[in-house]
Amino acid sequence: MRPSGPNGGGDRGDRGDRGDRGDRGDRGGPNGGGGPNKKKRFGRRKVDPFLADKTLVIDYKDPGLLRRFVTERGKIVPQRISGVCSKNQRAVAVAIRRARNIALLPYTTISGE
Amino acid sequence: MSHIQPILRHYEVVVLLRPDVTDAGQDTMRGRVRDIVTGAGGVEVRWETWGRRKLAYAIQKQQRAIYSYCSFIAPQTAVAEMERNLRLMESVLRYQTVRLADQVDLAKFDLEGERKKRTPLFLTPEEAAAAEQRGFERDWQTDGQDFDYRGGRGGNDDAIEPEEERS
Repeated sequence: MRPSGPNGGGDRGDRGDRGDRGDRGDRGGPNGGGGPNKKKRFGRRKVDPFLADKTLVIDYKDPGLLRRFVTERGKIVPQRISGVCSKNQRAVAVAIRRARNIALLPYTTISGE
Repeated sequence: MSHIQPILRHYEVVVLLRPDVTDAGQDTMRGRVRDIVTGAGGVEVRWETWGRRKLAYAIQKQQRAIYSYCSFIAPQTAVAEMERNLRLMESVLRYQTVRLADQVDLAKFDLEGERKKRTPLFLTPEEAAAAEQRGFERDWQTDGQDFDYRGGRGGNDDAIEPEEERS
């Protein structure tokens, strides 16, 4: 059983239009990219925890780790907020969907309980 | 070439059993999986017990389930057969098979090394029994709470809230 298709789960919404356009530029460098109308943002540059710590493995069998990449409601945190790089974000998203399937993580916490 | 060797792949399966299943019932399930895997010319790498865990959401009205994990090498046909059997067993709430490797050469496969590996949720039978005694329940909210993986997320959590409101 392969639980997740390429577009999987119900999280498409958070990724769509806004997610990808936004903050990519910032991550490149201190004064980096963004469009001309883009507001300047300050703050800590986000670091992909999986690149920072090579011993971390993305694994659907590790709900304690994946919990960090899920909101309190159980939604997958978009990469512009989590700071996870694209490649790892894809792996994290797949892992979360797999973990959800075996009830290690919730699909939602609103009515599911 | 008298007969064609089926391609062996590396898989892992997580099986969720009803929380009231006895140890003997768990062994029955494992025995079935084992027979199918070995019967098809595969190898069972290892079994793990994750104990009785609280589910993140109810499955068939159950709030808890007994988790078992198995890593094995088998041809595709064995997986289909195994899943068919699991579907038929009423004690099985859910299962999930994941393919780990597309092609495995048994001669080169590091069976011993793989057998020693442990998943993050692994419990020894003693630990599982002890946890049961204490009535301690593992679930997704408490697992790994002592770790801090929060890398880049610190201080930015608020940013998520507006998103929630839209939905």
